[in-house]
Amino acid sequence: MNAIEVQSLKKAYNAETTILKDMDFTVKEGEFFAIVGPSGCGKSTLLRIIAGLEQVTDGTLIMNGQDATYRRPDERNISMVFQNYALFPHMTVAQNITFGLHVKKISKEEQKKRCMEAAELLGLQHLLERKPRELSGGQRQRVALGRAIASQAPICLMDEPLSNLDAKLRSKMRSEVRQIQRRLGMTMIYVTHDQIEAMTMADRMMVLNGGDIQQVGEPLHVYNHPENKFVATFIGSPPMNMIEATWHQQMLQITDEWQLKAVRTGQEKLYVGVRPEHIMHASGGKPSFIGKVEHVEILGTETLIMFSINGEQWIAKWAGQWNFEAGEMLPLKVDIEHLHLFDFETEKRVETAEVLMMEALV
Amino acid sequence: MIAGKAQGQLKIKARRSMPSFVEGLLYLLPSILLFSVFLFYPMLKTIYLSFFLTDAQGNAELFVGLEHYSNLLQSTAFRTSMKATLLFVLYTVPAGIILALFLALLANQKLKGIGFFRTIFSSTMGMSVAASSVIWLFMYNPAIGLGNMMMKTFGMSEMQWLLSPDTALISVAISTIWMNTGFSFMILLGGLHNIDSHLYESGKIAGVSDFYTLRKITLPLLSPTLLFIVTVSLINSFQTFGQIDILTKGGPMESTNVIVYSIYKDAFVNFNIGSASAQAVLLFAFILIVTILQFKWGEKRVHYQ
Repeated sequence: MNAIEVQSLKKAYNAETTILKDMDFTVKEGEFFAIVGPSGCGKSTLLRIIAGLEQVTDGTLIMNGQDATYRRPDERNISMVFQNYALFPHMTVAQNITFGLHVKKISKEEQKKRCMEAAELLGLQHLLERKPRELSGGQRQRVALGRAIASQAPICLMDEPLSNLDAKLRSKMRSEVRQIQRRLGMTMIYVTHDQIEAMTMADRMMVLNGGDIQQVGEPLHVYNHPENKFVATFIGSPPMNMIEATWHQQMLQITDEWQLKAVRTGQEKLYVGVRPEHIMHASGGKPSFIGKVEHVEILGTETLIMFSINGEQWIAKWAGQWNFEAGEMLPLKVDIEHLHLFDFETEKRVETAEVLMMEALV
Repeated sequence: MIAGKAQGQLKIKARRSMPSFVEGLLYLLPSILLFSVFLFYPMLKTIYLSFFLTDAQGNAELFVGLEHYSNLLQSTAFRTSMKATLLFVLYTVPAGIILALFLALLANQKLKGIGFFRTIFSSTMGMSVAASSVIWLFMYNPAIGLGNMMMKTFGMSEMQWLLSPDTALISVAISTIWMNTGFSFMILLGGLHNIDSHLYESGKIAGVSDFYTLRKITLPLLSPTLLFIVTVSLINSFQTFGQIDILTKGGPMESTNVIVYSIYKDAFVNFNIGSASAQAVLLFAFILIVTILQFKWGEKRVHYQ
């Protein structure tokens, strides 16, 4: 069943500023759904519309099978975790966790029970009588989560909940949030600008840019088959390398020495993208191109090699530790099935198999 | 050798710390001077004078010890004056703050044109006590004032406002509330602005009532601001002078003779500077005690973020 259905939803503050343009997507029950995009793409606004904190300009929002477009936030049966946690500084942890439960006519004993359960789940038992200012960032984050858990709302909305934590704690909380979501079977809508969070936590993710849906799908599918150039460069770290290629009769000219046999499409040019981990050392075979090393970052388990190709800076990611001098010429190879092609005008994905002839591989 | 080195270091330390102390004093000098001339000296002089009988120029003539104080505590005039002051504080402070809080809550809504109301509500802050008092003097005029015109419109009997001992203090209090509302309003509105909007959104999602939100979110988080404004209003109210001087001159029948006005009269009309000084010292002690009590009381109830 769909927990949330968004149908041709629009949001505009006035005639000039449109925040969200005509959105359609669904979130299944019990799903971890991540909304990811750069800042200003409208992802937080979308979440606030789902929460009922902002009104839609047009469109329908169906939650749990009922039209909820114009319902009050408290009628939507949701919980929400804010970026700054929204903890009440004058209340104890326990009071913060059980905040608002009295509205739903939940008895004092039941409130206490839920508070204990949530605290146990999050390891907050010994902190229940503390005030938020006596807690660390991670603990505050857990209290905010505790409120969402104690409300037992089927849908939980999260607005960049981990962005105020340091890197180490963030990766720990990622798995914790994910485990809790699985165990309680809640539907989670998780807004983030961090594509790593979206990739690692989500069942499905939605990439937004400029108020437009770029792609919806499972993280690996989005990673392996980006719908357009934006998704290709936004998802993945370091980002996908991108270069303009021109047609040369029946050949696609990528660099001076790198050309591929192809079926010519209508466009004059194409974008060619390669993920850093797919650029390999040619090691004796025929190199696809020669890259001039500019800078090397050795990270221990892997090495990032920045090199220039036709004036663009590309990055290759190799496992292990490699050391090259700046200025060294490296013969590099890319398998043709690892190339991503994008239309020059629309920036939409062009299926590689349709354009490139596989014999060019040989 | 080592001892010599240590001594050298000590010397260096001493040489360094002395100038830095002097340097610090130099930075403080302007404010020390200003405070000394306009604050510390008058304060000490007041305390000194309160132990003396003085001539008309305010020179100490005869040491009388605590006689002024004991006279004051026995005099009915001083007791009437204290009573009027306390009543005045009681009339103006709670009512003024509640009114300002109400207006601030209204003006904190996100509505079109709210800026206009914010300006209106805070406009009295920009008016001098003298100007506002003159306005109210006209309003309270029994023959041509707006006050009685309104009473007539609502079918009530006309009042003497400032001219009757029963209503004079309340009338001055009303005008004072009006004058102070602008300042309290501004401060409280600022306090409301500082409350994280996500807390209210959390409340909305939980579905708590507006009254619950006010009681459990707004007021606790506004408590530092409220403590500040209560303290300032209280001190202000104890020190009221201008409106009394313009509206009633302490009359009728001493009913509005609040303590600061009484000090003024004793000092500059009756030239009884010793007694006036004693009253000023008593007022100072009283305000100090009230403020300390207030902070003690507030410690447990005020939630600093």
